[in-house]
Amino acid sequence: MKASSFKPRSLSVLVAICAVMSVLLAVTNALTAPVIEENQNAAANEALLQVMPNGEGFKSVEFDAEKLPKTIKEVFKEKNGGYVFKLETVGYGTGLVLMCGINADGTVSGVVCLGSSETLGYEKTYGESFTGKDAAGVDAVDTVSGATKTTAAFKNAIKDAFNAVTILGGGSVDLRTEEEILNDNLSAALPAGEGKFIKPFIAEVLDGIDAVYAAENGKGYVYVIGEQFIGVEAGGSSDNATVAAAHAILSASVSEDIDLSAHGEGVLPKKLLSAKKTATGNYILEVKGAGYGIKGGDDYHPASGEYIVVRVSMTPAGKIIDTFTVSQAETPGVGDACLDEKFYGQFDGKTEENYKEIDAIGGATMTTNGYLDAISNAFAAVTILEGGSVDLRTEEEILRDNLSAALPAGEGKFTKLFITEIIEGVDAVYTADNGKGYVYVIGEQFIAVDESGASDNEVVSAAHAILTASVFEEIDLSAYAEGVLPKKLLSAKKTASGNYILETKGAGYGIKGGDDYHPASGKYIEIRICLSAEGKIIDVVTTFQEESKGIGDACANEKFYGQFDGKTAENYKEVDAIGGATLTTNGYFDAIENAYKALEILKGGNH
Amino acid sequence: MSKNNNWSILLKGILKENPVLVLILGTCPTLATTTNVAGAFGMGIAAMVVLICSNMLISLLRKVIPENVRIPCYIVVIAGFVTIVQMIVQAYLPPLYEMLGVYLPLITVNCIILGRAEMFAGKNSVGKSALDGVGMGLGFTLALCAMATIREVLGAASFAGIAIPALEPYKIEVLVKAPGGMLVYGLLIALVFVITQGKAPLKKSFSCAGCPNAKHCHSACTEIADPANAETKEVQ
Repeated sequence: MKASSFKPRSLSVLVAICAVMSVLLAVTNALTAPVIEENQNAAANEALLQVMPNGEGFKSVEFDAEKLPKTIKEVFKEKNGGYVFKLETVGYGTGLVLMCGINADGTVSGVVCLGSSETLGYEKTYGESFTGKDAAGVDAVDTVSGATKTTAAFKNAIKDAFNAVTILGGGSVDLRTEEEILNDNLSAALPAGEGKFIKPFIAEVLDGIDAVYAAENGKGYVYVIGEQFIGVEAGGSSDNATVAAAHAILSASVSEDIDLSAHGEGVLPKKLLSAKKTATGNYILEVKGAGYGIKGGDDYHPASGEYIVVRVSMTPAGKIIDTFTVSQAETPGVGDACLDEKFYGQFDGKTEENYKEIDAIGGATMTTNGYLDAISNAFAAVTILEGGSVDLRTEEEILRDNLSAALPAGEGKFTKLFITEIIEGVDAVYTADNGKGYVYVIGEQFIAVDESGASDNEVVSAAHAILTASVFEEIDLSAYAEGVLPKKLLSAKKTASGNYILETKGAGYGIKGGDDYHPASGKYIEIRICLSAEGKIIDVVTTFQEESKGIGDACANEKFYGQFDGKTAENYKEVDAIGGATLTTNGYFDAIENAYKALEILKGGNH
Repeated sequence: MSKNNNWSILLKGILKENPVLVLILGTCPTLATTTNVAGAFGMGIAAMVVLICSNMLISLLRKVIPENVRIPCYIVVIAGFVTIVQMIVQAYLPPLYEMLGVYLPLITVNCIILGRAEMFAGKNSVGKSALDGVGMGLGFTLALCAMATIREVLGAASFAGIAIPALEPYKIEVLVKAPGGMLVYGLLIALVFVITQGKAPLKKSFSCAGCPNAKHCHSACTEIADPANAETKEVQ
């Protein structure tokens, strides 16, 4: 084999070929490069025109990233003075990319979402609601409940766009977040704090002070009175009399544990976990409340099984000094807002009369109620620790105690009787599960009737006689022609006295509702209703329901269906609906309406 | 020796000497672009255009290019054409450009192009080289489309991006991923082997012994070619 030798000819051929190809490439490039650039510009322009349809001559603008809000990634200036911004922010997920156009007159020309990892899809069209708004009007746009993080991100991004326009125009805007402003104020008041502050839990009443912050390094405190931030170094004092007084109290604050076991079984609320008392007589309590973690739960958001634990400091007179959420396992992104000082800070200064007058956590009623539950236990605990007494029994426990007191032979187990006759003067009747008698409730009185059936009370004996004599027989529905009786009538009985006992069903959320998060169960609400021949409701009870847990299932509660007793066909809808469960309430009305329809037909004896 | 039948030059690229399934050239773009029939077709046509042009130009220059700078020259020519095709596609067919992505400039190192330049264009007339380019290009495109059809229809329940709802529950997703691609490729090679009765891969003209570098290879590959050599005849 011959070794390749360097030949001038080889080199020149190679160079020649390279030269020719280069020329061809240069020619093609000259022809195609403008077309390619136009394609790319058209794509970018398309997005710009979407947010500013009347815009012309968009030009990309260089900017100092330090000076503009952090969410601004690209800036375009339009010929007529408008701006288009490309923003990247975080909604429910990261990577929410928006284009926002601001006209020269200071109104939003359009907002479009270019890319996102949001979960519910609102980001696709939410931007449209901002067209035409000016800087002040941005906040007024409705947020979408259930998509608060996405919609809040939109609003903040658009505010950033407005701020950017101001800054680019030569103005200045305070771009600091609330936390940054707070931290700057605290650091200015107490430089020794080295920029790291926490909000300590206060167990003393500090007159005139709005808030207290402590330096994490222990070098002092900052007291906030309105807009003023006044720092006090550890071991130091202040010229401000209010602050000096507060600081003295705070520095001297000591507390010691209260031995809860010394109070005996069942005296203190079960949900009181621990208690301390300060030298000044205030209480520091840790209480738990049943929020979504205990009472909620469905396939999509299982209940954690954990209580919300709250620390509360309270004066002996029952005024809340400070609150703090110690732990919670509520729904992330929804109920966990109870960890936010903005929520629990609302309770400071409240008493047992007004502690419920706070803004609930949007979309987290169970969590809010759980928090209120915890705090109510704190009030009860303080009353008891101060020597007072509180009936800690639940309503069910009080009812059972009253029934047992009236009829001890009932051994504590009672069921509410379904009334099939019109009885005067009696509010409710309970039977002992072991058959040993009845208890009649008239107002606050619980009057027992034992197995013998005798009672001193005239009203009760009269009622008892009627009830025990009540007989009824089944009506044969098949005797009626097809389609005559309402389809939702399940069964019918008639008493000797002419009342009708009907079982009907109604279409509530289980049939008419349903979405990705709360699927419809496919089941009707079923009720048993006793109607007099004139159409007066004698009694109603829910026999079956599979409505939304924690919301619609309130229709199984006697507090709800008990409202129908005594109503007629004209006014049976005049009851308190189940809050947040319109479909369920309407389903109940549907079942009752079918009962009335059936009554008309059965009364007429038509076949 | 081989019959100089122009028709046979064209046809051999489609089955008997299919670059992808017999010569086993250009496997990278094959595996990469056969997840979608539209992309496969686009790649095939783009490669065919480059192949025809480069074959013709190299054939034209075959007497001019000295052997010792043969490879660099071929590469300059091929790379130049690929870049020209790339610019034209980017300007006038942006969707195809997006779909092919990085595999468009990679045609430069597609073995089929360099391989045919060496094996055929460097030794044959311009006309025949052009036909070879067409034949090989068609073979490449057909092989790609066949593979893409199998992978896309069975693996993604769609054809060229149009969904086939009836097949949706039965789709075998691994087919659109690398392991599936290799599997389909291997099965197709086996199928063509059976159809051509196994004679094609052993042809001397394009097995190791026919490689232009054979004399530099210190006969490392001639041993592999040996056992078959005794029997093989040129079949055209």
